[in-house]
Amino acid sequence: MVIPIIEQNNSKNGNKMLEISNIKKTYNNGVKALSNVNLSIPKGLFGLLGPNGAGKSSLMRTIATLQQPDSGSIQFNGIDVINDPNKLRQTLGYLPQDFGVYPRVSAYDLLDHLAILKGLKNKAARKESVEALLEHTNLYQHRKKAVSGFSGGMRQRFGIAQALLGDPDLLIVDEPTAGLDPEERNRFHNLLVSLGEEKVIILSTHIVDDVTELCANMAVLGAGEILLQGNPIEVTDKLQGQVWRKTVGQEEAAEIEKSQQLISKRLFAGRTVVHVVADVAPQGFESAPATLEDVYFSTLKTQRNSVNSTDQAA
Amino acid sequence: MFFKMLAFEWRYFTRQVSFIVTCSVFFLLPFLAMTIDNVQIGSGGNVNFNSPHALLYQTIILGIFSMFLVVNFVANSAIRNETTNMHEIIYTKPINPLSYRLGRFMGAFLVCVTVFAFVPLGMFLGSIMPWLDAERLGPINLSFYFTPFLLFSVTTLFVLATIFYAVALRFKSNIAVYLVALMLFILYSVSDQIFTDPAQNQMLALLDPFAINTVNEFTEYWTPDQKNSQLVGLEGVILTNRLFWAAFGILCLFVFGKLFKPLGLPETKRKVKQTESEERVVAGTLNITHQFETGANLMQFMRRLKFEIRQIILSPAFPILILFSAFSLIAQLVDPIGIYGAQNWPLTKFMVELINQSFSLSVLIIVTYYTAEIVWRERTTGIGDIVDSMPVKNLTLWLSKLMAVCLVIVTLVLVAMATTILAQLAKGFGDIDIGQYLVSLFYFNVYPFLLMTVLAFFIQALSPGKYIGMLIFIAYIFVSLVLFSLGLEHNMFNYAASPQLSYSDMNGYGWHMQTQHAYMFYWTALAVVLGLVSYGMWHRGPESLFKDKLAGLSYQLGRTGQVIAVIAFIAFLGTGGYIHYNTTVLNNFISSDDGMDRRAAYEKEFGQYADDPFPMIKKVDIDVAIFPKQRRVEASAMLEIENTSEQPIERFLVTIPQYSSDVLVSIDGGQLGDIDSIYNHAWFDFEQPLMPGEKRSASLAITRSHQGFKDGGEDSTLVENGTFINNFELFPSFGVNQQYYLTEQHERRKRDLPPPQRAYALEDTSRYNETFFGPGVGHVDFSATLSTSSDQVAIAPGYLTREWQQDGRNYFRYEMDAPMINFFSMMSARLEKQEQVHNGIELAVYYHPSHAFNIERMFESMRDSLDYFNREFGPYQHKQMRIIEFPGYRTFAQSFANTVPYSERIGFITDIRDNSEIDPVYYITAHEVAHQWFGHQLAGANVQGAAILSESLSQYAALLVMEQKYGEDKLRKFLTYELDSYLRGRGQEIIAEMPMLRSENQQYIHYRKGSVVMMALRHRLGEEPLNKALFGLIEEHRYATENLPTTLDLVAAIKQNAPASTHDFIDQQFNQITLYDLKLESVQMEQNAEGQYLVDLTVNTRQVIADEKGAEEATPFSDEVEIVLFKHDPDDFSADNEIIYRKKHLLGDGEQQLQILLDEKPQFVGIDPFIRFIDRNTSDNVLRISD
Repeated sequence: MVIPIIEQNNSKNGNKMLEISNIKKTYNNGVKALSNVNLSIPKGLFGLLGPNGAGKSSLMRTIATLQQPDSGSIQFNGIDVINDPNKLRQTLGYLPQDFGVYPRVSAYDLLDHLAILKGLKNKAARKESVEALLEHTNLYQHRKKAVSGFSGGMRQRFGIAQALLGDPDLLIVDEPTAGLDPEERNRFHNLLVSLGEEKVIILSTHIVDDVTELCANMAVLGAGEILLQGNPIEVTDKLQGQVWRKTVGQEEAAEIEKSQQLISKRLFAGRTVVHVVADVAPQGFESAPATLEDVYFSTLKTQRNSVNSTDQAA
Repeated sequence: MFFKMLAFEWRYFTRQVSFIVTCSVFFLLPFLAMTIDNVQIGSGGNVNFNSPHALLYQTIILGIFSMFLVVNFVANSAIRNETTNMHEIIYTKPINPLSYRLGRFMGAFLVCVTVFAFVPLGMFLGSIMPWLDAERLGPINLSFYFTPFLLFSVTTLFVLATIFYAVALRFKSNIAVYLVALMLFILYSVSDQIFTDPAQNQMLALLDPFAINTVNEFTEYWTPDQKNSQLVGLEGVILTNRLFWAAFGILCLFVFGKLFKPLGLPETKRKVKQTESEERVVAGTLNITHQFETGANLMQFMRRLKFEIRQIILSPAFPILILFSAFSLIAQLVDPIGIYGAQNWPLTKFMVELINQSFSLSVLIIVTYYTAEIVWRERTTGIGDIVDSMPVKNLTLWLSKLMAVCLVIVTLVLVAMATTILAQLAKGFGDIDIGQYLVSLFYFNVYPFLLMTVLAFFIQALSPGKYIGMLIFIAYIFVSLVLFSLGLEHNMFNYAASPQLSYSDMNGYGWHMQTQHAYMFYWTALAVVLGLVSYGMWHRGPESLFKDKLAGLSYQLGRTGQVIAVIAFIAFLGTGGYIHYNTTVLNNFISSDDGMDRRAAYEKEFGQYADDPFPMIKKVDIDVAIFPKQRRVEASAMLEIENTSEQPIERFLVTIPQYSSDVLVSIDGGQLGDIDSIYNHAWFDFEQPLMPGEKRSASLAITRSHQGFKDGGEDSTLVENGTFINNFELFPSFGVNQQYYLTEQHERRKRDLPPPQRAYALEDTSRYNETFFGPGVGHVDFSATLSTSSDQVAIAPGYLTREWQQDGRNYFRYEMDAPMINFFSMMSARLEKQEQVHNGIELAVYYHPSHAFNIERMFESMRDSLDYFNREFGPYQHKQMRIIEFPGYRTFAQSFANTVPYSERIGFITDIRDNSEIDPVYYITAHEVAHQWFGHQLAGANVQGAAILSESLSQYAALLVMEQKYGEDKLRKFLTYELDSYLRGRGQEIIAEMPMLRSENQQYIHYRKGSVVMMALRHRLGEEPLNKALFGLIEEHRYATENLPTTLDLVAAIKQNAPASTHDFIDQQFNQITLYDLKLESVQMEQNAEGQYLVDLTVNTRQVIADEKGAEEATPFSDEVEIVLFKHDPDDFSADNEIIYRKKHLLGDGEQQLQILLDEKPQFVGIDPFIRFIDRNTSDNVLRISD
C-alpha cells in the first residue's frame, strides 16, 4: 500500500479562506434547511458534523454552486460564489454524497471527459493528470471498464479522483468514506490530510471519529443552524471534567434517561454504558475523559432541549 | 394464495394515481371521439356514430394504446420485487410460485381489463349526449358496445400482458419492456405500408394481435347497411385470429412466465476479476497541478457534442428505431406501389416521399424521447451534481445537447438518402437529383423537425421532470394534429408548419420556395425565442423548481441574450404580419366551415335561378396570352350566343372564376352589373331581352393573376412551367354555378338544405337536351390564339394553323374543323415533342424532357386504339391526336377534343420493363382515346347514368385494345383489381349505391363495375354484337344537341343485339345491384384406366340483390358459369399458360357437383376465373389440384 505524498506547491500561497455569511434557505415545502449560517473556514481540513437531515448536504450544495440560497453571501478567495458561480467552479472539487455515472463509459474516458469539462485543455497534461489520479485511487487497472459496472467502493474512489481533477483550491467532500472498506478509508484520509496543507477542504460527515482524526477545525450543524464551531481539541477540553459515565442494566438506563441529562448510551460487552454531562458527579457515576463525541452529542441534546422548551413555552 | 395475490395486486394498483389517470384517459378518448363531430372513427356517410362497426373500430384502435396500459401495470407487477428491492425479503418466504406468479399476473391483467372497460363506457355515455346529431345515431344496443370489448379487447390485453410479463421477467427491467413495446408499435405501424398485396392482407389479418387488419379484411366489402346492423362475431378469419393469439398468450405465459420455477434471485454474472499483475505501480507522489485554463469552451462543446451523439446512438432504443425505419424503407423500395400494381420509375420525388413516410415516425420519436433523455441525462444518471459543479458554461451544455439531437436526425435522414440513391442506381435510374433531395428532405422536412426539437427542449426546460415534459410534448403533438379540426386551420397557428410541399418535375418547387422561406423564417424566429428561454432556464443542481429557473432567466441570458430574444420576437411578429398580409389580405383565407356556410348561403339565395334559361354559346374564338413567369393570363373571347330556350332571356347570372380581375362581359343590348365579391358573380341584364332562337355576338375578357402567396390551395392551373387551365376555370361562365353547391349530406342537413341531388332522374326528359357537362355546355365551333413566353409551347384543341413570334413571345393559332363540346384546355409549358403519322392521323406526344420513358408505348396505344375504334365504332372525328404532359399537382388524364392532357404522375413515369405487370400506360392512353368516341361523339344526357355512357364504355373500349395486346390472362388480373375497387367503393358509399343504369357520377360504379359488367357482356354476347350495339348508338346520337342518349338507350341497344335469353342477365347488371358468390369448394382428380384424368369439383353458388344501403336479399342463382382448367398457375404470367379445358356449365343455386374428363393433366382449376360475374370473393375461385 502506497501512501501518496503531495508535493508542496509554493507558488500558490495565498491566504485561502471561505467566508459564509447569513446563508438562509427554505425549501418550497416549508422545510427550513439552513437558517442563518455563518462560517469562516480557513485552509486545511474542516469537519462538518451533523445528524441526518441537519442541512449538511444543503450547505455543501450551496457552496458547490448547485443551489441558490434565499439570502446571504459566500466568498472564496475574492470570488463571489453566489453571483459568479462559474468562477468558483474553476477551482472547485466536489464529491457529492451519492452520485451516478453515465452508462457505457469507461473510467478513463469519463475522467478525461470530466477533465475537459474542468477546463484542462492541454492534452498531454490532461493525460498525465487523469492517469495519475486513476493510479492514486487504485483504479488504473480498471480504467477500461465502464464505471457504471463498478462496485460501490470503486465508484467512490472514482468520485474522489474526479473531485481532485484540476487541482482545486476548494475541495468539498460529502460523506466521502461511505462504502469504503477500512483500508481504503485510511488511504483516503491520508490523502485528504496531505492535500489539506494547501487547500480548503470541507469534509461533511456524521462519523465523529473522522473529524477527530483529521480536522483542525470543525462545526456542528443541527436543524440548519451552526451549533458549535471551533478546534476539536479546544471544544473537547471545554467539556473536560463534566462527563460522567456508568455501566448499568437496561431498566436502569431507561430511568437515568428520564432523570439525567443523558448524552449518549452505548453498549459495551452486553451492558449499557451511559454518559451524562453534569458539573458534579451524579450518584454512582464515575468520571470519564471528554471526547469529541461527547461534545457532539451534548451539543445536539442542548439544541433539541431548547427546541422542546420553546415548543412547551409556546 | 392465488386469490390473496390477485386481491393484493388489485388493491395495490387501484390505489395508484396511474390507475385513475389511465381510467380517465381511456374514458375520455372514446367519449370525445364519439361526441366531437370532426373526429369520427369508423363512421361517416350513412354509417352511424354508434353503429356496431364504428364501436368495434374505436375499441380495437384504442387497443393499440392499451400497450402503454399493459406495460405500466403488468411489467410493474412482474418486477416490482426487484425494482423496490423487496425481492430478498419476499423470496425467502415459503411461496408456491404458481399461485404467487399467476395471482399477481391475473391481478395486474384484471386491472388492465378494468381500465379498458372504460372504453365501452365512454362510447356509451358519449353516444347518449344530447348534442349529437340524432339522425346519425342508430338505436342503442348495449351488446354493440360491450361485445367488441369482450371479444377483442380482452384477448388483445391478455396477449399483450403475457408478452410484456414474459419480457419483464426475463430482463428484469422496465426499459426492456418499453423497448419491446416500442418495437411492437413501430413494427405494427410499418407493416401496413410494407404488406400491400391482397395475399399479404390475409396474412396480416391472421397475425394482427390488435385485430385491426383482421376486421378490415373481414369487413372489407361491407356496405353501410351491414356496418350499421351487423356485429362482427367470432367467425372466419376473426375466429382464427383470436384463437391464434389466445393460444399464443397462454403459451407465452406458461413457457416464459416462470410459473413453476421456484422464486429466487437472478443469477448475476460476475465478471472474472482482472489479475493484479496488471496493476500499474503507483508513483510516489501525486502531481495534479494541471489547473483550469481559459478558452476551453470550444473544446468542451465538441467533446460534449461527440459524447451526446454517442450516448444516443449507443442507447438500446436507437438501433430498433433505425432498423424498423430502414426495414420499412427498403421493403417499399423493393416492392413499391403503383397504379394496378405497376411500379413507377424511382424518381427522386418518390424517394423523398418514401423517406418521409418511413422515417417521420422515427424522427418524431427521436425528438420526443431523446430530447427528454438528453435534457435530463445528468439528473437521471446521477452525475448531475458533479457535472454541474464543473466550470462549463450553460451555453456549452445546452447547445451541445440541442445540436446532438439535431445532428442525429440529420444523419439518419442522410443515411436514408444514401439508401434510396443506391436503390435508384440499382434499378437503372441514373437521373439522381441531389439538389432536390437536399431541399425536399432537409429544408421541407428535416428542418421543421429541428424546430420541433427546439420546442421539445423548451418544454423540457420548463418541465419539473423528464416524463412530465415528454407527456406535455406528446400531448402537444396530438393537439397539433387536430388543430385543423378544431378550426385553427391556418399554418401560422401550428408550430413549424408550412404549406405542404408538392414537387413537380416540370414546375420544380414552384411557389413553395417563397412560402417555405416565409414560414421557416417565421418559425425560426420563434424557435430562437424558445431556444433562448430554454437556455436561460437551464438549471444546475438537483432542485428544478420553475420559480428558481424563472428567477435565473434574465441573469443567464445576459444583455446579449435578451437583445437577441427581443429582436427574434419582433422578427417573429413581423414575419407573422407579412404572412398574414399575404395569405389573408392579398389572398382569401376561408376556414372550411365558413366556406361551407358560404356555399350553403349561395345555394339558398341563387338556387332558385338554377333552371332559368341563359344564353348558349355556339361559337368560340379565344385570344389567350399566358405570362408564365408572372403567373398571369390575359384572356379574351369572341362568342356567338343563342337563346336555345323557349322564353326570352332578360337576365342571367355570370360566375367569375377565382383570382380574376378586369372582367368584361359584353353582349349587345345589355350590361354586366356589379360583381358580388363574396360569391364572385354578377347579374347580366338585357335591356333588349334575348328572344328564343335569337343569336347575338358577345365578348369576354378577363385577367387571371396572383399576388403574394397562399396558406394552401395554391392555383395549380397557372404555373411557371405547365399551365393547364380549362375554359370554366379561366373564363366567366353563364348560369348558376351548381358546382359550388355544398355536397356533403350531413353538412347540408346542418344548414337546412335538402339532401344533395347528385344527378337528375333518369326519366327527367327536360334534361335530355343538356349534355352531362351541365346545362349550357353544348357543341361549339372553336378557334384559339394562344401566346406564351418564347421558351414555351402553348396548346389548345384544334389544329395548329399558324405559329409565329412577336415581341419575343410565341404565338399559336388553333382552329377546329369539327363541332366539339364547349370544354377545352389551354396549356403552356417547356416540352419536347415526338410525332408520328398513322393512317393519315397525326399523333403527337408533348413531354417533359426527363420523362421520355414510355413515349413509344403511348404511340402504340394510340395507333392500336384508333385502328380498333375506327373499325368498330365509326370514324375518328379529328385528324390529329395529341398527349400533353402537365405537372403532377393534379393526377389524371383528361380527354378534350383531339387533345389529352396527361399528368406527369401517371403513365409517363411508370416503369413498364416488367412484363408480368399490367401496363397502365397503354391502358390509360387507350381509355383517353376512346373518349373521343364515348364522351365527345356520344355525349350522354344530363341525367343519372350519364357517366356510364362515357366512362364505362371507354373502359370497355380500352380493355378490348388491351386484351388484343396482352391477352386474357392479364385482363383477368386487371378485372380482379376493378372488381376489388368496386366492392370497396360500395362499402365507402356515403349516400346511396345506384344500379349502373342510375349511377350518379359514382366512380366505383362507372369505372370499376363498368369494366367488369361490360366485359361480362362481351363474353356472353360476343364482341361483334356488343360493338354493333355501340356503333349503332353512336350513329344515332353523334353530336346530338337534343334528345341526348341515356343508359336506357344503351340497354335497349344492347338488348337489341342480344338473344332474349341474356336479357335477364343484362337487367341484373344494369337495373339492379346484383352480387354473386361463386366458390370452388373442393377438387379431386383421379386417373382412369385409359389414362384420362377425371376431375371432380364441388362448387357453391349464391346470388343476392342489394338495395342502395347494401341490405341484401337472396335470389336463386341459375346461370351458365365458365369452368376452366389450367396447366399452370393462372396468376403466373411468365409461364406460357395453357388452358386445357374451358366450358360453360349451367349451375343452379347452392352446393353442387361437377365432373370433367380430360386427356391432359391440369394443375389448376377455376370457377369463373376470368371474372364474368360481380363475385364478392374472387380469391376462392381457383384451386390447385393435388395429385
